[in-house]
Amino acid sequence: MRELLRRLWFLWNRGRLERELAEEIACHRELMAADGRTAPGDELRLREDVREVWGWDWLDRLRQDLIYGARVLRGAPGFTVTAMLVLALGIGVPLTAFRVALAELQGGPVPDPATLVRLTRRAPGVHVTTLSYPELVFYAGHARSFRSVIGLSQRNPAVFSEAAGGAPEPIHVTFSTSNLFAELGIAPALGRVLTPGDERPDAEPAAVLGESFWRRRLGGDPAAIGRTIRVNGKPLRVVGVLPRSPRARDEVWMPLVRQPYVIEGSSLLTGWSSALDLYGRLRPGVSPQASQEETQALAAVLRERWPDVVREGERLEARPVSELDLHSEEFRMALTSSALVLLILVAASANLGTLALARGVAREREIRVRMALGAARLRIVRQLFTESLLLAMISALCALLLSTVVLKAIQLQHDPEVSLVPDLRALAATFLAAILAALVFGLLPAFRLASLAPRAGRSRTIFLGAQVAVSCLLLVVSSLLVNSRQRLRAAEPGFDHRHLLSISPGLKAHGYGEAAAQAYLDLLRARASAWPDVKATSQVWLAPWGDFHMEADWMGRRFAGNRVDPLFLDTMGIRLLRGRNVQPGEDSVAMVNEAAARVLWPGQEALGQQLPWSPPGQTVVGVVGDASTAYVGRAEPLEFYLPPSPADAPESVLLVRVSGSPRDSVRRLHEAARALDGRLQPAVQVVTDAHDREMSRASAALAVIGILGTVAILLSVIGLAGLAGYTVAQRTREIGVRIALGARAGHIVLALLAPMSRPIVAGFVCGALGGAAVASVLRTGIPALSGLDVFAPLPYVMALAFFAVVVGLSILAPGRRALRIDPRQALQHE
Amino acid sequence: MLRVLEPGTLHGYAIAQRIRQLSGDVLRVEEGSLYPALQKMLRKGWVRAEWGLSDTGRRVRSYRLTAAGRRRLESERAGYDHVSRAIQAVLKLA
Repeated sequence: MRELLRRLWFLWNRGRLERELAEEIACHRELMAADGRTAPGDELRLREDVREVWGWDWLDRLRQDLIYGARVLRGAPGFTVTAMLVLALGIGVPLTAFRVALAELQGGPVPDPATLVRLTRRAPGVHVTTLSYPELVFYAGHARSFRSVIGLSQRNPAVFSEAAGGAPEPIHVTFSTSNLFAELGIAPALGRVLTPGDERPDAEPAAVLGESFWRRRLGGDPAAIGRTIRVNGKPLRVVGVLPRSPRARDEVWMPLVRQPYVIEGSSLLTGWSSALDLYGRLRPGVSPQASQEETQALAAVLRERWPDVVREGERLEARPVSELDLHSEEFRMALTSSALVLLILVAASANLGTLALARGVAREREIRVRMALGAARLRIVRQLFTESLLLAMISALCALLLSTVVLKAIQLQHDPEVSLVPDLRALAATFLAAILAALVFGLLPAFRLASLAPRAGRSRTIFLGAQVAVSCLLLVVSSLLVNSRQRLRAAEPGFDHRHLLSISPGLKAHGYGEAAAQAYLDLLRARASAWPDVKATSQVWLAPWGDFHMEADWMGRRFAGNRVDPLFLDTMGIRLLRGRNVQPGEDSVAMVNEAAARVLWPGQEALGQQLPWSPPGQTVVGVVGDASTAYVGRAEPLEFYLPPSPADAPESVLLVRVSGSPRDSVRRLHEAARALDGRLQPAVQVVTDAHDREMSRASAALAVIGILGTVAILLSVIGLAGLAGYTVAQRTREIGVRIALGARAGHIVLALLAPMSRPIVAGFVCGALGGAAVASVLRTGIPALSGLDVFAPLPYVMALAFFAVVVGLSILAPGRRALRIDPRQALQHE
Repeated sequence: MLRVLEPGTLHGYAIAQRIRQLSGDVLRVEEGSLYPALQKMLRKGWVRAEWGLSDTGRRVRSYRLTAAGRRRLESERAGYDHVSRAIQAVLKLA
């Protein structure tokens, strides 16, 4: 420690020390001369030796290397600018993605995620992901394994208005227990979060706002705290604002016990059918396994009292939130997208590697001279690597700038809350990427130049192959996506979605029973049918392209279902191909679409067959035309339709087909539903909106992939051109001899292409295979791309053709240079 | 060099001279090893340097042992005695 301090002192006082040393040596020599002797050594050498003792010689060398490197880079502006462009793109693209992801994740991590568990009901053969309020109360009161049990219900549709009677706006409300905020680590951005005090029955109804909503609707006014707002017409006091995070997307947050206050007639707190998401915070030392054993015993107790609610052998499955679901679609999508953007960095590094190798040829003479003057190999490697590092660092700064510009564009266009100031993690990622890139593209050529690596051929092959593979991968993916999107545009979902509305009155939340709900729906339907522009109406269980689905898995395929009345086919515009329609009151019958019939009973008549999944005994009585009503853009929708059941009525949806624009009818339908029952907050959807939303999502994904592809191609052109230039420079003499011997232009170009051909072919094959794999993952993640055919030959041919053009373009300039070689000059050159 | 500095303060050239003198002209320390060694000893804190005037009135830098330098000298001396006795014993035996 003391020695370190002394060393630093040496560094600090260097100038003085140097002067003193010079004086001391001079004195020494004078005295020596007086004795009649002369100094044997060289003074400079002596001073260097002394400096080494001070321990800062590496700093000197670094400074020398940096100055020399800067001079070299300035001396070759063409290379420097190209390399900076390549690397700035290579670092900038992943960096931008990383910063966007960071912005998405803002809001902080969950404290101690290992002891926070998601609770779901698991019984033999059954898995229910939500629990009711009485169950929440029971487990929170009895389970000793949990310090606290959190219950919440998100995305409840409601209507917001300012107390002063401002324009009503549909919003989503989260109802949660007040312990949620502490356990999930959500701190208020302003004011306070909900507290147990807000849950007392006599407390004033309190609400917390989401930050985005607060900014948008209340102008980000801090004075909004303490103001009264209205949700579904009920006054609430605003007590705080929640920071924006993936966990706080809803506009308004309220205590769970206040749900009946804003949703009139709700039976949430008393009924067993409500659906809450439950989380538990384990007590210290309690394992999830132990908690499951306890809840199994507790469930048995609950089952004695409520045998028809709790199942035999039921327990609460406890899964820590920190556990990543490696098989989930989101995880695979995230992995694929990060791999895709990181590939750009790989391509850029490989690219610079080829460029650096190419430049190495031109610099060989310089290096030889330096080595002849006594530079050690390692010193040369270090100097060359410092040069690469310098280049990478400058490029990293450019990349930072680039990503900030892109973020600014995103900010202007979409999201005003993306931060433009890079945080520590972004900075660390930038420089880590720069160092990694420098290691990849700088070290190998440096070793090669200092003759520590025997062959340039292999490293060149690796660099070239890697970069061609990456470019081809991105090219193939873009090509596949463009191709599938064209087909998607051409393919219709199988029904006319342009003139269709759905209205979901939300009867169940307001405590409607089956008969009352059916009566209400009949009345609403009669009103709507009386309007002159309404062509047809139908009552179904699930809205088309909605958030809820009924699904059956069979033979690895997923079938989407719905419960529909006889007017469904007419209203949707789906044709009945064979058999008959289902009728109300019927049981054990079903209709399937043609695609499902083909998959389920290939080569057989579907009529009269039974659906293979449970509940068994549903006989197919009709086959209808293919339509994708559950999801947008399924190319081969597998669907089945069951007759309506009276029990569905409180959750049912009305479909209304109009002749004009559906948007004109939204308000009318809303008012009609409210006129029948003023407590309701009906959700009216224009069905086409879901289609357009999905299309724009697909377009956005396509645009991003397109940008990645373009960048990759750009990198390829630069890299291949560099390599061709390298080949020409290296083989000037040989080409000169060939020309002198009468070789034609074609021969010369072929000779240029020959060493590149193997890595290009290998890279292309790898890239195409990788592209197909990536595309198939994207297909599962983006529903609108589900029609994508990974095996269609056209996209591959297109990518190949495009790439061939790229290769041609990139060797154009070096090729011309090769053809202009004058044999006489080339031979005199050496 | 520590030994030479033990009795008092000396400047660089004097250190070399003194070693030469004490060793009967056998050991010669040239500037190439003298000054790096002195700087190393400064860094380790065994000696201290100060500027002063020589007998001839010239500005010179002289070196003086510190407490740490004395300790070092003692331990070097003990180590040397130990080794040289061992070598002598072996040589006599042979």
